[in-house]
Amino acid sequence: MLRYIARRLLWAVALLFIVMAVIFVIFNVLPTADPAQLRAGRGASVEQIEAIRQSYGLDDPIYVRFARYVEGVVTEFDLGTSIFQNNAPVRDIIFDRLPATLMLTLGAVILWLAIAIPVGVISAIRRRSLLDRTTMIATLTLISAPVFWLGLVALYLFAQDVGLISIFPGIGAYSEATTFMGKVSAMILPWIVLASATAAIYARYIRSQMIEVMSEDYIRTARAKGVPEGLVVRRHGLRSALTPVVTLLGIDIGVLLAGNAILTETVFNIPGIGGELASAIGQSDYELIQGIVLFGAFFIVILSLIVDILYAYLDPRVRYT
Amino acid sequence: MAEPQEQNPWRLLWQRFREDRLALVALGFVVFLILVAIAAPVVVDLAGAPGPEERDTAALDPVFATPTGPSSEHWFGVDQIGRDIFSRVIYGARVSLIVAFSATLIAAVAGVIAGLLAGYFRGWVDTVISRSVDVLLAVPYLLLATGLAAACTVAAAGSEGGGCFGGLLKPGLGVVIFVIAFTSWTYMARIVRGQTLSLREKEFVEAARSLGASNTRIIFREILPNLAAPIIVYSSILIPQVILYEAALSFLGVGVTGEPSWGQMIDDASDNFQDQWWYMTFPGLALVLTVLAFNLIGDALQDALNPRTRKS
Amino acid sequence: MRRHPWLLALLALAIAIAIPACGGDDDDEGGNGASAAGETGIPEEFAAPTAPPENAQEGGDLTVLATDDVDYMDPGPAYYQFTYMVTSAAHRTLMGWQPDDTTEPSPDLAAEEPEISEDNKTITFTIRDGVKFSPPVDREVTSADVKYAIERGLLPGVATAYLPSYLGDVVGFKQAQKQAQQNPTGGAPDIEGIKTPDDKTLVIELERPTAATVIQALSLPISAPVPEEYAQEFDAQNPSTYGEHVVFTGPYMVENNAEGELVGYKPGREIRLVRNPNWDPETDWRPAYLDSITIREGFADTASASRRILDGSAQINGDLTPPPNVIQEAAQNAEPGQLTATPSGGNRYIALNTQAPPFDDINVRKAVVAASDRVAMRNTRGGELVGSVATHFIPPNFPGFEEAGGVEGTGVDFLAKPEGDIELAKEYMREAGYESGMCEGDCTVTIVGDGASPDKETTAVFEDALRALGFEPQTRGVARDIMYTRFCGNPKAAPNVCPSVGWLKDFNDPQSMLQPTFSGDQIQPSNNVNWPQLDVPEINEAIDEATLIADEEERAQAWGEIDKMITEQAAAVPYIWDNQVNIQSADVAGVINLFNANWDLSFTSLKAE
Repeated sequence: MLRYIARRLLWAVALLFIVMAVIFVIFNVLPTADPAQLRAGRGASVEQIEAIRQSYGLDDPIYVRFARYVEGVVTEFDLGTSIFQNNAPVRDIIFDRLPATLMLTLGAVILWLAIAIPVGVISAIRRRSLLDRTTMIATLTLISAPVFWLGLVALYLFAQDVGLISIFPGIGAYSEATTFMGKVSAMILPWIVLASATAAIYARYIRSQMIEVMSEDYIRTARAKGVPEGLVVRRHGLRSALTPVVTLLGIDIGVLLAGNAILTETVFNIPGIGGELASAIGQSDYELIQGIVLFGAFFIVILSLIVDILYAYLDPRVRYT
Repeated sequence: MAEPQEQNPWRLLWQRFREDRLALVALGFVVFLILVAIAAPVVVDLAGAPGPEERDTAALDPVFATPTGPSSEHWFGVDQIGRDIFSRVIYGARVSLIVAFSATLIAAVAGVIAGLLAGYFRGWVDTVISRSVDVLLAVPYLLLATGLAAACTVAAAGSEGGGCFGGLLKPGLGVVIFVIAFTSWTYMARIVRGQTLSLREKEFVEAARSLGASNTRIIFREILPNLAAPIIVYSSILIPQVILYEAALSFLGVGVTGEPSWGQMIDDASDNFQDQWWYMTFPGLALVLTVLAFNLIGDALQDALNPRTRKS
Repeated sequence: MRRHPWLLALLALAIAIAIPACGGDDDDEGGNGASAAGETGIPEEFAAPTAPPENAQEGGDLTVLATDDVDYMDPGPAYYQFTYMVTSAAHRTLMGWQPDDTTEPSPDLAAEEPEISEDNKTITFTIRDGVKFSPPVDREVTSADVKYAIERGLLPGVATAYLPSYLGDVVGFKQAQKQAQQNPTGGAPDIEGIKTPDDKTLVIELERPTAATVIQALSLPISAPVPEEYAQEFDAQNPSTYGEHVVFTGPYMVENNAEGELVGYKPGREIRLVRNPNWDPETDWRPAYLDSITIREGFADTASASRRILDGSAQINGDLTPPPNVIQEAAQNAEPGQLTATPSGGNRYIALNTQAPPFDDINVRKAVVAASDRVAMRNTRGGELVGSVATHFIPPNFPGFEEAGGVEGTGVDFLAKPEGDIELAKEYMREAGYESGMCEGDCTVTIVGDGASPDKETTAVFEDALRALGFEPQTRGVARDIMYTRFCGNPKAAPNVCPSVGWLKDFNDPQSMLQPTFSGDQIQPSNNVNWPQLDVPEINEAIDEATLIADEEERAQAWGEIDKMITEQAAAVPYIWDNQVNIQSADVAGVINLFNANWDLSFTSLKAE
């Protein structure tokens, strides 16, 4: 077990390093724009641009710059500075925006599991029933809708300021809320929107897992022994059907943090990492974009590391493969 | 060489697919959509709607110049500057479908090549390819794509040129397709690699090898034909994701410009959706219906391929 | 009424970047309200309030909503209109602007009007008694603090953009500038011509007789005092970190801690202004009714933010402008006074690059201008209330406006029909050698504009004019900053069309409107603001001559003529003379500062319950 963890840890570190290199290349080699000029910004003379080029060492060869970047990241988690925000450290900006994003994501995870598990299980048990067919088509429709559009529709229907039925706080409510409960209520609509698509995917996944598990021999044996159906489902079926969901969850939280969350934050104007990224893109604030992408990658790698180790602990066979 | 399987796998796939009536309807819708996209000018003309770039200033409020909603003249209403949303939705199908098919094609080809190489040669080739996939999966794809697209588009136009790779990749449709393909091939590569790993141990491959067939021949003549069905199926699953992906990029302002696209229309509409419900509604519905149709087809194809998990 | 007509060109990127500094005009008294409505399109009911109510209430907290952050918290480089809203409440500059006056700044940190020598080359200011820095500095302001504030503006780490254009005539300016560039972290360079004979006296010596200009310039935040002993450690860094430790002299200050760190400033999210305990109301003409002001930033969705203000969950707008549909809602449903419009003294136009084909041909340019539907372009910003359709470049209520032809225009045929004249356009195309009246051959036209609403819609309307003449527009929408720094302000990388440009005056003088933007001598290798790159010898000469005219009427006449000459060149499609729309909630008694065309925080109060 220890050896497995050590090996897995080593790979995670290597992976992070490679990811860092890839991201660095993307943002420092690909763009045709001159970083010194971007940094110099408004009102800069040719001399000023040159001075900036020198003081930031933008003339150094790419590997020297990369080494400097890695050193900064490793020693003090220095992700650079944002040109368009008075040279504020990217790290501080990210940590400042993190709570909103974490709150959005965690709430959504809880919500989608709370929806997906019962829906998936019931559909699997009542297979081919009207209920099953309706939920499956409904979930497929939710999967087919872009999350940002769902957000707009939800706001149009339910937002307090502009909605047809004024129930939930609308755009920008999170920034304005001063109490924790205020923030929670501001998050209700974003949670629903963000959770719905993923809940649909999970419901379908859990359903197919359940169907598979329920046709296994040991379930049949249990049924033959006269174990009540409810108990069979809960004790045998659900447990083995949900184990792979844990893995999926580990990956999805990471992806969500850095994926759909951007769109949701943009629509609801939540001051999280995703919204920050969207505005950084608008301003071509490369260092900030790069920092956020890297931070997202850190998150995914670490989460998948945790999930792998957990899984190895739960299922000893994994270690030897 | 004799066919390794008794029955034509395509016919089998089609037979099973045909049983899913909903999927057939979806297929019909997709075919219809493709026709509409190709014949967009004719469709718009037949409907009596103005072209997608035509501004009807009479459809704007006389004092505040705000747009008006659905009417007999403009079925889906008009946008901020008086353009007909119906005709823009029709034309928008073009961008969605072009991106969907070409990005999927590129991702599939790249994924198949990578998967075949990794699965067939194993060893260091496999290590390199699989690890690259791991790296790409570790980078949040939407972040990477938006960053990449932003990096490629910002220096656009003007006399200095722009885009990526010293101007090789021009901004616009090309960047969008490239970015989507670049972050989508990993899925196909993983599946093909797994399948190849098991196929290369099959008897008919062993037999070909003992007859002295070259690696190229084995890959193209023995393994690839047996992968055709799964490749088609998993490509069909990729298509709806790509459409959503393109819409998300457009929504974040790094998508296709210069021609109407659904994602971009929703982005435009998001500024004023409270008052102009029609502007976000119609492109959004077009998007949902299209993606849903592709999802239904993909689902049915997948069920047809793996009858064990079939729904009915 | 005294006027200061000699304005040096302001190179400054002013509006170039975010429609920042300055604006307004001087007919707010309502005396000629009708003509104002005619020229600026503002009905009386939406006229801006420029004085607090008589029974204005003390106290309370005001919430301001903004989309973006201030450009700099440091008053040295600050140059956005929105930033001025903050600096004018938190700093005291030598001269300041009373809400209803846009022609003449009033003494603020200066105790009285400055003394100007006979030869117009020496200015003497007396610093007001009793003005103190906010904690942790806590001492009385001296003339040396103003001298240091100006000098540090030359440091590359502070880099005040407009300094060379306005104060370049100060004796020893160039040497100090050189010194600062050679040694960016060696402390502020000494400008010989700024002298402090004693703690209360500041003498500025000039090489040319431009005292009037310099006095106006000293109403900008650059003259807000900075204590050297406190700031020098921050200014020793490049860029300076003084922006995180600013001390204030105005009625308000950004909340800070004992070390002076601005804990109340969270870039991009919030600025919290509280009362400055060291401010003495006896020394100031600002009433400063409010106890505190909370500026919340990051409201990218201007429609919902505007609604929040109108429905009372927030109180006034900062940098954000309500979109057309919200303007419509407010005009129809809001209580009187909630929606206001103020002439900003600016114009917007589509710049055509006169140095590259196809627009190096004046007839092609005239064709494109003629084909443009300028009413539709103006309408993308929200109809009549947001401004009238421009027919030339000097804005209404501005010296030279009537002389250039007033609302009617200068008389050129290609601007005669505001909705566009496609027949005339084709005529001009034929004159340019296109037999069919349509472009033939390589007809690609590159466009780089602001990618956000409403500019993206304006660009889309303009593209129609190009298509109607057979051109193929290739458009990229980017962030405004990027548009200027990377494309439009860089002649080497300039596209054929820069559709999202415009100019806001800094002062009430037509030279500041026309010289930087249309004089061929003003084309810069970077941060260029002559976007059409217009370089016509006769115009350049006429501008040179007009800058030296002192007589008010002659001057207006000369600049009016220049405006006509520029318009005749068809180097740009002028489509709007801007009005700035500002909104407030029903519980606020807001006061607009006409100079800045935005709310004045130290005059605004909350209504009694």
